[in-house]
Amino acid sequence: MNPKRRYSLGPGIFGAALFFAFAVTGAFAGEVEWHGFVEGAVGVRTAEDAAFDGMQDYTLEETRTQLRLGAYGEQGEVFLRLDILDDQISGGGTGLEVRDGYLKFSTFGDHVDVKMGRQALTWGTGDLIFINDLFPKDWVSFFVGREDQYLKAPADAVRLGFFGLPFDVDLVLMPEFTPDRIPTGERLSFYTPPGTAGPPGMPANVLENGETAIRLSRYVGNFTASLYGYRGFFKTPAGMGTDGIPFYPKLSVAGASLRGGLAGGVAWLEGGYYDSRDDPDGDDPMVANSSGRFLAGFERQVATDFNVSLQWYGEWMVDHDSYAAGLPAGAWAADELRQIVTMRLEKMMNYQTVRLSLFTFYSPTDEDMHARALASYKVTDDVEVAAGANVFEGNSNQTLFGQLDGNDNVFTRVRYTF
Amino acid sequence: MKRSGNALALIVASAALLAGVSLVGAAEKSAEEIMKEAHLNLYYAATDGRAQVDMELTDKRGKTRKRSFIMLRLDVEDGGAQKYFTYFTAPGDVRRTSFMVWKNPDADDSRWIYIPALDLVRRISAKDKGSSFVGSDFTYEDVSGRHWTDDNHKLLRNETVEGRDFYVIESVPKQKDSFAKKITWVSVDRILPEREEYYDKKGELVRVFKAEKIEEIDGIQTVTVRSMENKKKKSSTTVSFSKVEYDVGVGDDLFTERYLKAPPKKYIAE
Repeated sequence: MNPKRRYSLGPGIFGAALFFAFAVTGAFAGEVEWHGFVEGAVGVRTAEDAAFDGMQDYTLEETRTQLRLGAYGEQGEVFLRLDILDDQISGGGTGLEVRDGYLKFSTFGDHVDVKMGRQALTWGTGDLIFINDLFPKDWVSFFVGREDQYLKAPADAVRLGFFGLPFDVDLVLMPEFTPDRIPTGERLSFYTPPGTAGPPGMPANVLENGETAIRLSRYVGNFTASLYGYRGFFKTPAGMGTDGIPFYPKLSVAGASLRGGLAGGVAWLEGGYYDSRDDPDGDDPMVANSSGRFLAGFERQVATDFNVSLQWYGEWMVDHDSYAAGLPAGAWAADELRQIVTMRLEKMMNYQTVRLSLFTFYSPTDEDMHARALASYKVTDDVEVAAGANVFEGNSNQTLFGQLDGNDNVFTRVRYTF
Repeated sequence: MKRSGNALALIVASAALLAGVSLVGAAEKSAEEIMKEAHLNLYYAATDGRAQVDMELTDKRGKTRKRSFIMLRLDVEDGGAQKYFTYFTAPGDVRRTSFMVWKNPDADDSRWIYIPALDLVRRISAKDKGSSFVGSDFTYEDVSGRHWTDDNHKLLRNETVEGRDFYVIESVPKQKDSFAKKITWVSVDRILPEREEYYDKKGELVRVFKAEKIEEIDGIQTVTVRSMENKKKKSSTTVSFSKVEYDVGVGDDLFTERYLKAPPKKYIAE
C-alpha cells in the first residue's frame, strides 16, 4: 500500500468534517475534553524465517501517544483521535496518524444520524471473522500484537443512520477505496505468487471507484436481524493482471445475519454471497472466484468470569470446477469448501483486573492454524501491562496462516492512560 | 448493631395470641409482601431515574480503584421488566463505553456493550447474574435487583436498631444460587432494605450490604450511598449516587443500539 495514503485527506470528506467542526465548535463552548494514553510496545520474532535472514528480529518496537479530543453539545459532537507514533521498525509508520476525525449530528427531526469524516466502522456478528463487514482492517497490527482496536483501520466516510422505520438503516459511503493493511515485508513475511512484478495497483481514484455499504437491522424477538449489501472491491489484492501487478478485483456482497440470546448464551449466524465482478464465470485463475460464506457461532459463560466461544466458518467457491480447470498442472488448489473453526477462551481474575485470553483459528481444509494468547493486568486504573504471543502453522505458503508460518512472535506492552 | 428485637417480637406474638388477632397493623404483612415492597422502593422508584454513580473498590491490600458512570433506568412494568443504560466516564480506558441491560425477571437478561474505539456494538452473554459488575463487590443482580419471587422469605423477628424498627427477614433461594441464605433488615418506616447479609452453604457470612446514606429526593427515599463488603475476599465497594433525578422522561427508544452508540447529551451530561 502506498504509505502516503495514510496522510491523505481523502476526497475532501475529512477536511470538510474538520472545517465544519471548527465552524460549529463555538456551539459546544465549555464542553471540550481530552484524554489519551502513552504506550510502549516491543515484539520479537521467535520463529526462524529465511525471508528475514539478516533482517530485523523485531516485529514491534514503538512508542505511541494517543490524544482524544472531543467537543459535545446539544447539536452534535466533534471528535478527534490522533496517534503520534515513533516506530523503530524500518518502513514503519513513524509520524502522525488521524484515526478518528469526525463530526456527528442528528437531523430531519432526529430521524437521521450523520457521522462524517475519518472513523472506525464495524458491523456483522463474527468474532474476528468478517463476512459482511468489509470496512478496512489492519492485519499487520493484528498479527504483531497491537491492541485489538488497531485491527480496525480508519476510513474516510459519510455514515448515515435512518431511524423510525420498521427497521434501522445504516448507509456508509466511502468515496475513496480503502484496502486492508496486509503484510508488506517490513515486519511480517508473506507469500508472493510467482510472476509478481510489483506492489498492488490501486483502483483509479475516481468517485465511481468508491465503496458503498448498507445495513438494515431490527430486533426480532430476542435476536437482532440484519441484511447487508456492499459494492466495491476485494479488500486484499485477490487478482493479478497479465502485467504481473496484483490488483483489487471488483466485488459486490449481499448477506444477512442473526445474533441474540439462546440457551443461556449468545448465538449468531451470518451469511454472504461474494460476487467477484471481474471473474463472473470463475474461469480466470488470476482473479478470486465468487463465493458463498457462512458463519455460525455460540458464546457462553461457563464459570464465573470465564467465557468460551466457538465458531464455524465455511467458504464455498461457486465455480470450483472452472477454477480447477484454469490452474496450471500441479499447482496448489484451494478446496471447494474452505472451513475454519475458532475457539475463544477468556478468563478474568483479581477483580477483573487480570484478563487471560486465548483465541485459535484452525482450518482443516487449508491445514493451517493461528493462535493468539494474551495476558493483561491493570496495575492501577491508569496503568496496564500486557504480554502475548502469536503462533502460525501451516503446510502451504498459499494459505492465509500457512504463509505467515515463520512469523511467530511474542510481545509486551505497557500503557499509561490519562 | 444493637438487637432488642427478640423480646419485642415475643411480646407482639404473645399479644397477638392473646387477642386472637394481629394487633400491629404492619405485622399483618407477610415476609414476602415486605420484601416485595422493599424491592419496589429500592429498584422501581418512580417510572424512570437518572444518577451519576461513583464507585470505589478497595481490595484486601487497601488498593483502591474508581469507576464513574451515568446510569439511566426505565421501568417497563413495576416489579417486572426494566431497562438500564450505563455510560462510563472514568477511568480513561473505558470512557465513552456504554452498556445496556434489558432486565427480564422471568428469563435471562439481554446485555449489550458498545466499544467506541472499534465502533462495535455487541450483545454479550448474560447467564450469570451473580457475576461481578465491573470488578466490584456488587453483582449484576445487586445493581438491578434480585426479584423477590426468586426466594422463599420468612420473618425472623422485629428488631430496634438505634431507635428505629426493622423487620428481619430470612430469604432462601428457591433454586441453587451464588448464596445459600440472605438476612435482610427492612426499615419499618421507609420499607427499604438497609442491611443485607449473604451466607454461603456452610453458614458463613460472605457479603454485607449497607445503605449508608438515605436522602429524600423528589419525595422518594433514596439510598444515595451504599456499600458492599466481601468478608471472604476482604474487599469492599462503596457506591455514591449524585445528581439523582426521577421521572426525567427517559424514552424507551434510548435503550436501543442507536443511542448505545451515541447517547443524547441531555442524559449523559456529568
